[in-house]
Amino acid sequence: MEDFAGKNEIAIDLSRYEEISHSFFEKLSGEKILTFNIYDQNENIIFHAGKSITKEEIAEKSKQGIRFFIPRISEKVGNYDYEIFSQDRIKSLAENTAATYANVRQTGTMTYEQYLNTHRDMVELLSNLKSEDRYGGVLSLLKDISNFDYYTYVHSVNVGLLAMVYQYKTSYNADRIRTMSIAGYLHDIGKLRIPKEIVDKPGPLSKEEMKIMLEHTREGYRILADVEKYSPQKKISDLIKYGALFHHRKFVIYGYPNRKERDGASREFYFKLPEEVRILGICDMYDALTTTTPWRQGNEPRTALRYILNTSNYYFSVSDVHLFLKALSLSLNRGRDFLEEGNFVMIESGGRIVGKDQRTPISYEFARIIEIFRGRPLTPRVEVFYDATLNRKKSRIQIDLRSDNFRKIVRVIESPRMNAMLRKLYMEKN
Amino acid sequence: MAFVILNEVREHDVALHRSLDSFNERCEIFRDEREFLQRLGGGNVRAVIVVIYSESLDGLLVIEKVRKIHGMEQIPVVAISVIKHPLPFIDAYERGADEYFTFPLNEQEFAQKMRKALKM
Ligand SMILES: [Fe+2]
Ligand SMILES: [Fe+2]
Repeated sequence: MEDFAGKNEIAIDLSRYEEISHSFFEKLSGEKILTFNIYDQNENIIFHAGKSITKEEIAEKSKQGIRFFIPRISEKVGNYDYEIFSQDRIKSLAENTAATYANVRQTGTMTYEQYLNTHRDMVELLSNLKSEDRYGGVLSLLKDISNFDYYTYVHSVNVGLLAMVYQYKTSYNADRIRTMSIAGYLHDIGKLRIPKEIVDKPGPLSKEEMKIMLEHTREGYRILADVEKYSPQKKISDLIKYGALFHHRKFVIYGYPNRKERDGASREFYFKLPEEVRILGICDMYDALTTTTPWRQGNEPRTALRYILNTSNYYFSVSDVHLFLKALSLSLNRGRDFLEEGNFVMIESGGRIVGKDQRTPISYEFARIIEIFRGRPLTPRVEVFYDATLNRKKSRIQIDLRSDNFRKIVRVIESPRMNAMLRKLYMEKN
Repeated sequence: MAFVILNEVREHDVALHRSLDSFNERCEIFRDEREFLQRLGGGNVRAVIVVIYSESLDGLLVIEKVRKIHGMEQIPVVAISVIKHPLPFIDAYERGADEYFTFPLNEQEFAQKMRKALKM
């Protein structure tokens, strides 16, 4: 009897584990190193983290009737008392970076050896990630920028770290994590070809200066492409090059649907970019929002996270913002939820695919957060009370967003005036 | 994007205008964001109108910048836009606008809301 159990039955707790599809699993095989244990339906580890797996092994296990499971990330709220990376380690990485970058600025090009240096430093950090970091750990970025020069290095390191930890928490193979962290690390490399006076200028740039500054995306792509040109046998992942080229692409959904595409503000273009590049834009913004520089006071993580949520559908798509916040908000906010009970939020719903190129219409409603499920700030229980599309009250209804895939929080109301208005509406009898 | 600074407010401003030029000599019109923001520090500002032509919401970010300028915290700020959508509406309010209008407008409604926003 006991032997038989588990052949078809699933004994593993599905609220804690999720099954991975065969095709996804196959993508993990080959040279790649698993960063994660893979379990069978009886919660036995069948592939250990740190090992690589072959297609044959997968096929053989499947034949035995084994199904493959990995722990659900969002279900687990970990321990947020410890730092994922020590500040000393990050500081030393920033200093190494400073040395390499100084060289690149002087020559205007990057050698393959220099590229490998950055690569090596990132991989070194990556090897320090522990499997428990997937569930917890505080990610503190470097925050004290003592001088202008230092800013670009620190920013590069910070975005690299954000990208690394994002990918570590959401994907299962070391290759992708490595590539995305390097993409983050090198995203602003093109700034080394922009005149120093402009890059380090305190305060706002003029229109002309801004135009020159924005060239750093194209210059970054060129620097990386040149590395390949001078060492033809070497290949730099497209993702790293695209990260440099497209990290300032914006989304912008509202406006006229048929309006001619505008450079930098096209939804179609945005979605053609790889997910990693789109998330990189959010990591970039998060670091910019939270860094204190000699000319600007940085925001607290909570403020920055709420700000990022409030750029959904404008700078970034709702789904990307949610991906980022789901993976990183707890680590960045020292384990605390960045939304709270009592907050007023705006919810977007619809957009469900109902046929070829057909979606249900998008609508908006106001709601109040009733209960936050610890560690899942984006899927609380809410009370919907106002239809923002039709501009009228609707009968109140409580919804558990954990089981409503079509409602997504797109704004949290911050201004005292809007909050007062909504409180009044909420209190009024139907 | 265009920015209008009203030096004083009269009944005339409440009416719906066909073009920006209908605002008279008591106002200053800017096309450049930087020039406009610099001017705000100079005083004699009774109200601000931000006109947003494109789908870009950079205009709403300007409102945020206006509010951060010393002395501009309480000044009436009105955003006029072509985008009819609940999100920019909320974003405008959140960033400190007193009113957000979208075209096409009903003349009476416009006057009524303007009067309220400009505290007349
Ligand atoms: Fe950049
Ligand atoms: Fe950047």
